[in-house]
Amino acid sequence: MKQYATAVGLMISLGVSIGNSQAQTSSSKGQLYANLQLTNQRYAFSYPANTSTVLALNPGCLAVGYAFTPKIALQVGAVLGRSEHEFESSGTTTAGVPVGSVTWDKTKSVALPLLARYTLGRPESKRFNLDVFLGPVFIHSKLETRKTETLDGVPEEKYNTSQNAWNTALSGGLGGRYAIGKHLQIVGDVALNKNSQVTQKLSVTGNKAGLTSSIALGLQYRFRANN
Amino acid sequence: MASTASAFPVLHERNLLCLIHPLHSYMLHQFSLSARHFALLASCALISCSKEEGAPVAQPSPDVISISAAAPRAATSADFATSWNAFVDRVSKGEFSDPLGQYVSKNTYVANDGYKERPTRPKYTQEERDARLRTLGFVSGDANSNTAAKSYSYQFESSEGRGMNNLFTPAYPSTPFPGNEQGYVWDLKIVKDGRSPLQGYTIIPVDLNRGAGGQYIYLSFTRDPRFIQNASDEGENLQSGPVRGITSVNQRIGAGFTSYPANYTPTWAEWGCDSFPGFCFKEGDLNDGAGGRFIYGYQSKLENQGGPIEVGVLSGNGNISPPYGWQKVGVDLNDGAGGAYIWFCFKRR
Repeated sequence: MKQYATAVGLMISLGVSIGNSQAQTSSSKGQLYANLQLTNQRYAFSYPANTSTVLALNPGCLAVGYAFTPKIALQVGAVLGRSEHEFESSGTTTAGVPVGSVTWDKTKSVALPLLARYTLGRPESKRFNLDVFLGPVFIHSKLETRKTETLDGVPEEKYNTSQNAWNTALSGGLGGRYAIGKHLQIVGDVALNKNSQVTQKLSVTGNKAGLTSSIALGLQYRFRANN
Repeated sequence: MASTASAFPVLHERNLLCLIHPLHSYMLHQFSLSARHFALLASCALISCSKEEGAPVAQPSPDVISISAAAPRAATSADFATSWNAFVDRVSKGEFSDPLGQYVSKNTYVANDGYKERPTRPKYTQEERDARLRTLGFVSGDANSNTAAKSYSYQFESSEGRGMNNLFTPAYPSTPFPGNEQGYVWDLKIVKDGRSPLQGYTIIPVDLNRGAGGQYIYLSFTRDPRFIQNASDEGENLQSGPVRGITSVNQRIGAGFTSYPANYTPTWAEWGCDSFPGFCFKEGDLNDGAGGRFIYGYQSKLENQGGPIEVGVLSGNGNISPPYGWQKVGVDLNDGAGGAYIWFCFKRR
């Protein structure tokens, strides 16, 4: 988790430093912004040992972006996720000997979306704007798994593994922004994601295209006031 | 159809009345309950009351009481099992109400939006039920002398002996399945939303919402790789092969907000978007319509999970064990929704 915290820290530093530099050159047309959103982002993910899954990353997302023009912006974000499962089985062999198992897993993941955004229509004159966006999402996940089986009270470890990997997904979608002040906007995004490294698309994502979805809703702070 | 809010205990006067009227007259007639007894019962039974809104609230018959509380009358475990199954079936049909609110009729439906926790129903093992009913004054006597009440009853159905017919060669039904000569269980799907099983799939006939209202939900399987839909076998090989693991996971909110268990993929449920082939499957909530926790089924085809398995469903009135050779796995498939105790089971081939 330390590396994920580092990634988020780097992003904040980047945002602050760009913000400072922008304050010094406020006459430029560019505009820095930061998003803080509630989010649920789902990505298909493939681990090295031929296992694929769908990761759900939530609940918060932090992003910073830079609007080069009123219509075009580039945004980088970070969202963390972790999950843990443990399930047991218990019963008997056909001879009536007690048998059981405990299966456990834990994942820690981070997704870093790098999105190019394009605002539809004439953004200068409207309070509400629609964006389309597209870009890669860099996802890292660490998976630990363990399974112990017990036969007649004697435990036996079946496996105890740890693996991690980076995957890249493509994300695209639609976003809306509604200005509620000179600096603040309510922002929401919906996106579809595709990870081409996952080959078991149907069994993993439930659809032929291997698509998963993301949703986010929150606030955007524009460091330079809108006119 | 009752809304979420009205499907669980909420102390509205309207809810109170819908239960009090039929039960009150019945109990006064049958048991001459005191006012204190009745107050206790009403406070408990409210839990199931409003769920029956819109449908006639049936008068409890003496059978209800004899089964759920006066079990000593059951002469043997087999009698008791028959009685318990009949009790659950009759409550499910709406022929009468369970005064403890654990079992409800199939007309009971809890809305499901997946974004927030759902309300829960009480759940009791048979021993706990009897003790509770005794406390409420439904039956008198020493709890310790009530031996039959400690009998647990169950229903177990499995894939063993099912789904063996080769539909491509009906004249020779025992012909091995191409690519699966051993006849292993090759894929699992959930059947719900009132749909029929997929072609080539066989249902295991135990409602995964048994006694908890909501949808009829079943586990289905196929042994024939040619019929598999929405699985890795459609031109993808990494996770193909026989089913080697089955489990279930419960969650406070819907499936979209959590990751899968490692090494497992969902037991997908067809949801009817026939005009978009390839996009017709969803993770099927196994408590759909019943409330309680969100529960999802998963299967694994990875060799590290062990050898191929047969699958089964165990349903009963307590923390029961499966038959010899079988293991129950995961969570109670009615967790938080009342009803029967239900588990997925497996047996290694």
